[in-house]
Amino acid sequence: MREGGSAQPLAPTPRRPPPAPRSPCCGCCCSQDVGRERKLRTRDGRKTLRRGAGAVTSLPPSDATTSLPRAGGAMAIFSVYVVNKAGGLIYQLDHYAPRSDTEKTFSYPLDLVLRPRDERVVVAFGQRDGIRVGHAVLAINGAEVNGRLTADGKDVLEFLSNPANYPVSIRFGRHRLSSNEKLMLASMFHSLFAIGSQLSPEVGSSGIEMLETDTFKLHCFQTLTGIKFVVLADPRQAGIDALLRKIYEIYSDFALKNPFYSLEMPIRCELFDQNLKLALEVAEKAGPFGPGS
Amino acid sequence: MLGSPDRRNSELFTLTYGALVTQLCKDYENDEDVNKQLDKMGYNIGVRLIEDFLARSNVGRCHDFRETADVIAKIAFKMYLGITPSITNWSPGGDEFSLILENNPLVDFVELPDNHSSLIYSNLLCGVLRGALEMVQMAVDVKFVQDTLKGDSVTEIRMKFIRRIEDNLPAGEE
Repeated sequence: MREGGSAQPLAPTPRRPPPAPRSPCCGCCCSQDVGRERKLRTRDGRKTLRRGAGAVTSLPPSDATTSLPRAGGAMAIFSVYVVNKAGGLIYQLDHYAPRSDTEKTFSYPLDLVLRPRDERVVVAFGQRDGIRVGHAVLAINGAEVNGRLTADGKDVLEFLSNPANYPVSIRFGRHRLSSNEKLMLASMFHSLFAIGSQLSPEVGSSGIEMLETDTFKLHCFQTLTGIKFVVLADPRQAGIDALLRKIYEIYSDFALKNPFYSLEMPIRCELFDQNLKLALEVAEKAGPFGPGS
Repeated sequence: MLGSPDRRNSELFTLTYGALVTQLCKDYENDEDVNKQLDKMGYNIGVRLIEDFLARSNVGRCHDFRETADVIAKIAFKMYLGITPSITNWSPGGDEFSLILENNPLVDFVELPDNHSSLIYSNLLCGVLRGALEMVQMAVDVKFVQDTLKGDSVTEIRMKFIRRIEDNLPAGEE
């Protein structure tokens, strides 16, 4: 496949997703050799991907199609939030690997139209090659940008309008939420959660337990003491209820039994982190056929 | 039974609690202060223990004080101390009851000396119950009314419901 005129691809990025990704699996959590085999093959270029899929002989022929990525640990849990009684975020973990970053080298003039939005520089027009409208500039020449400024403190748009700075390599992708944004969203969710019980025609209804979109499902569990555990996961992931109970146990063990942890404060316990990640991995491996939700 | 791991664990627990109380007595020199400290420490344990209890026992919210009493005696005490106290002496209004403990693991091998006659040795338990119930929006008053260490035949804890804590209610609990 030919690249467009002015953009040269770098050495194939090891994280380029397979052709029809519907899951964020990056291969880093794939436990099955089949999945890993496919990943290795894509390093040589796109053509071998098809060869890789066909060459899998350990599975019956019907699995040689795109159903394979699911088997490679495609079910994913994206993030975990813990919200205290007052609505403040006390813990947050992002478990997914970003899958839509694209890094390319450009020469002057840039054929994408960029404009500032909020605190970032985003693509306004000129979608191509995995760089979509709405993607933000994440890094220039390998150095992460800081909002609208480059790592050296220069304005990104000015930097990119100067032909002397080219050729330049820019990484685009969906922007990650900053911790302030996460804090805000968590308290917003805390308020929305209450609306669930207020709207209910029945007395004593719970708050919002699940929020569904086309790309993820948000599950929420509120304990009798008012702490909320929120998990964002792939819509097909099963066993999230059991996972929420497990996270509650992990919280009661590694956060609360740590005498140096004060209640309602941000959780900064190493053991809590470790055990939570273990629990997420177990839940992911169980997949859609796992213990009932 | 002798020398089994459970017995050794419970003896270590008794020893640890005893060391704690005697050190407090040395530090404070005054039984009333020691009682207050034990209650505070118990409160600190209670606010954390409640989450462990809820996470492991899966009990739902109690709708009246009788349910609460049942859960405390039959599930919580059993889970943490291995004993099941009996529930008696309900007040006419249903807001006070007594827990009768036949044996108290905290006081195995303990004798109170004469100079500590107003020490409430197991006051930690009162703090634990108070702290735990406060986290599930119940304000209660907990105190010992009989103590085998002081010569009574049984140990009796009296629990009184004061009020429901209305501020910071979790959503959906109004």
